[in-house]
Amino acid sequence: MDNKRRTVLKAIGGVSVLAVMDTLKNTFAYSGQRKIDSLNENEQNFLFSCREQWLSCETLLPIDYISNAKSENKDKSHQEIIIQEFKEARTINIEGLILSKYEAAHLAELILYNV
Amino acid sequence: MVLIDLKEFKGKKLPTAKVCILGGGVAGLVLATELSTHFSDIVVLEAGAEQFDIDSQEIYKAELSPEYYPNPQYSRLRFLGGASNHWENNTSPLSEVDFKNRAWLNNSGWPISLSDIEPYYTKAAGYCGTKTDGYKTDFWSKALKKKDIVKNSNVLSTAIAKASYPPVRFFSKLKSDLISSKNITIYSNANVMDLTFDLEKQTVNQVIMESNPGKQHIIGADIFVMCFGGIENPRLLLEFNNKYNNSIGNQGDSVGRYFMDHPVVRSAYLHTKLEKEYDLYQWSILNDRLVKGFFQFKENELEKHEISNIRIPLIPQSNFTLSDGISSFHSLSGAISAAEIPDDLGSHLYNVVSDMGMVIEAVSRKSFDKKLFDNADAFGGYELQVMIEQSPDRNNRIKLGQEKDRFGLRKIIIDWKISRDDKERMWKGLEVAANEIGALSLGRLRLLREREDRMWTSQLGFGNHHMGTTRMSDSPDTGVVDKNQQVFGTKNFYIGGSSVFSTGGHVPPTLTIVAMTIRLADHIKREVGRG
Repeated sequence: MDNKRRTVLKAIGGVSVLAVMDTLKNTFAYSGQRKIDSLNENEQNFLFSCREQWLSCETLLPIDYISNAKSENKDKSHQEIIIQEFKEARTINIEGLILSKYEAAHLAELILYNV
Repeated sequence: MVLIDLKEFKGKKLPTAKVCILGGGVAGLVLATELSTHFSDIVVLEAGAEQFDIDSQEIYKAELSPEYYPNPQYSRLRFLGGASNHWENNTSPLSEVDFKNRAWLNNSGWPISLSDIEPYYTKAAGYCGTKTDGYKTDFWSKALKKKDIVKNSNVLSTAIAKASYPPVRFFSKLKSDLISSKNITIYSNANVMDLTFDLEKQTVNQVIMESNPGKQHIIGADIFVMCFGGIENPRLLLEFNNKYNNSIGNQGDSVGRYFMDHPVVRSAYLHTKLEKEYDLYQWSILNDRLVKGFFQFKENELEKHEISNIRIPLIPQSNFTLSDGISSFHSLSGAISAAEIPDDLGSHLYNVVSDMGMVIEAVSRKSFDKKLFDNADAFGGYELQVMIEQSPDRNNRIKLGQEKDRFGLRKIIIDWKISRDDKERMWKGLEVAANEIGALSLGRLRLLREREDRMWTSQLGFGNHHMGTTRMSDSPDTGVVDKNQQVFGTKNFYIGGSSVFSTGGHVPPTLTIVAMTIRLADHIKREVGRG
C-alpha cells in the first residue's frame, strides 16, 4: 500500500466525513474542476479499482448515487448520511475495505477528475 | 501434602483413598485443594514429575494430526501444573448465550446455564491470580478511566480480559496450601494404564498405573475423577471402553468426538486515527495484573445474523506491519518456491509494486537488520486477531491409532478441521462489525479475505484449548458426562476440565475450568456426605 493510499485509509477511518473530504482533496489535489495533476499511477489504479468495483455491482453511476443521496437527505450532513448507511448496511466492499456507498461513490467518482 | 515419586515406591498396592484424582494439572490440583478441607485421604496421580522431562513429554506425541494443527506433543505440558506452566493467563468468563442451544449452530448448548457456574467465578478468579473484582465492563471502564466506546451500541459490546502478571503456575501457587492440608498425597510418574470396572454395580474399583514400563501399581478409592485434559481424557476413556464394551460414558459413541479448539485468525485491519479512543482495548497494568477490553457481539445480533460469537482483540500495528505489499511479497515468494503461479497474480504484483517502499523496508530489515523509512513504525491501525467459536462437530475427534507409546498405550490420531460454515460465520460477523464500527464513526474495517489461502493454513493461530471430547449432555446418546460431570453409566466416576464443555464459547477456557472444578468439588462433598 503506497503512502497516499494509506493516507486515504487513515482518513476514512476518522470521525468526520468532512475531514475525509478535506483529506481526499488534499491527498488527490481534488479541485472540483476536473483538473488533477498530482495523481501518480498507483493512486489512479486504486481509484480506478474503486470505480470498477462500483460499476460491477451497482446499477447507478456514482455521481447519480451521490446526487440521489443528497436530494433524499437534504437536511443531513455528509457524516449523517454515511452513519445512516452503515446502520442500514448499505455498504460496499472495495478490496476488502467496507465503506458506506456514499463515501465509496465519492472515491469512485474521483478518478474521472484525473484528466 | 506428601509428594511421592512412584518410581521410588516399593510396593504394588497404594493405600486406598477416599477420592482419587487422575491428573495433576489445573483441574486436578484445584479439585484436590477444594476437597482437602472435607476429606482426609485424597490422592492425585500425576503422570509427569515436578519439573519438565523430555521423556515424559514424548508420551504426548500423536500418531497423526492435521498439517496446520499445533503439535500435541508440545501444545500441552506433562508435569505438575500441566498447561498452566506455559499459559498466558488470559481469562474471561463465558456469557449467558454460550450455554444456549442456537438453532443455527449444530449441536450447540449445554444442559446447564451460566447461573449454574457464575457463583463460582469469583473464587476461580482468585485461583487464576486475577483477583476477585470481577469482569464487569462498567467497573473497569471507571476504574481505569478509559472509555467503553461501544457502550451505546446495540450490536457490539466490550468484554473484559484479565491476566495475572507473571502468569500463575498452578503447582507453584498451590504447593504451600497443598502441603499444609496434610490430607493430600501426590504420586508423580504415575502413568495410568487401566482400570477395573464392575459392570453390574457400575463402579470403578481400582486404577492401574505404571511408574516405569512394566512396573505396575494399583490404587482403590470410593470416587475417581479424571482430569487429564481435553486430549488425554478421551484417549484413556477410549482404551477403558474397548475393554468394557462402551459402558463407561461411550454408550452414544461420543467419547473423543465434538473436539473443539479456538482458532485465532488474523482476518481484518481496523483503519482509524482514533488511537486514544481505543485505550481500554490495550493492556493496562495494575500492580501484578493486566486488564483490557475486547469486542464481542450482543446476543440479539448473533440470532439476527445467525453467526457464532467472536472475540475481537485489537492489536496495534505500524504502517510496516499493515503493508499489503509485504503480504503479497510473501505470497509470491511462497508460490515461486513451490514453482506455482499464485491465484490473483496480478493483484499481488500490483500490491508489491505500489507498496515497494515497505517491501524494500522488509528486505532491508530481514537481510541487513537496518531500518530505512521513519514512517514505517508509525501507528497504522489495528489488526484483528479474531478468536472464533467453533461449532461442535461429531466428525472432529480424537481417536486411537495403531502405534503405541512406551507404556503400551495407543497413540492418538487427531481428526480436526474448521468447517466452511464456521469460516463463513466469521466473515459474516466481521461484516456486521464493520458496519457498526462505521456507524459509530470509529474507523473502517478492511477484511483480508484475499489472504484466505494462508489465513486458514500457515498463518492460522490457536488457543490450544482442547474442548468437547467428553462433553456434558442430558443424555448418554449425545454426551459422556451428565450435568454434574458424572460419567454416564457409572456411580463413582467423574471428569474435570474443558473436555466436558458442550460448546466452546469464544473466550479462553481456564477460568471456567476452575469454576466448574470448584462446583464439582461441592457436588462430590454433598454426594459423599449423603452416601
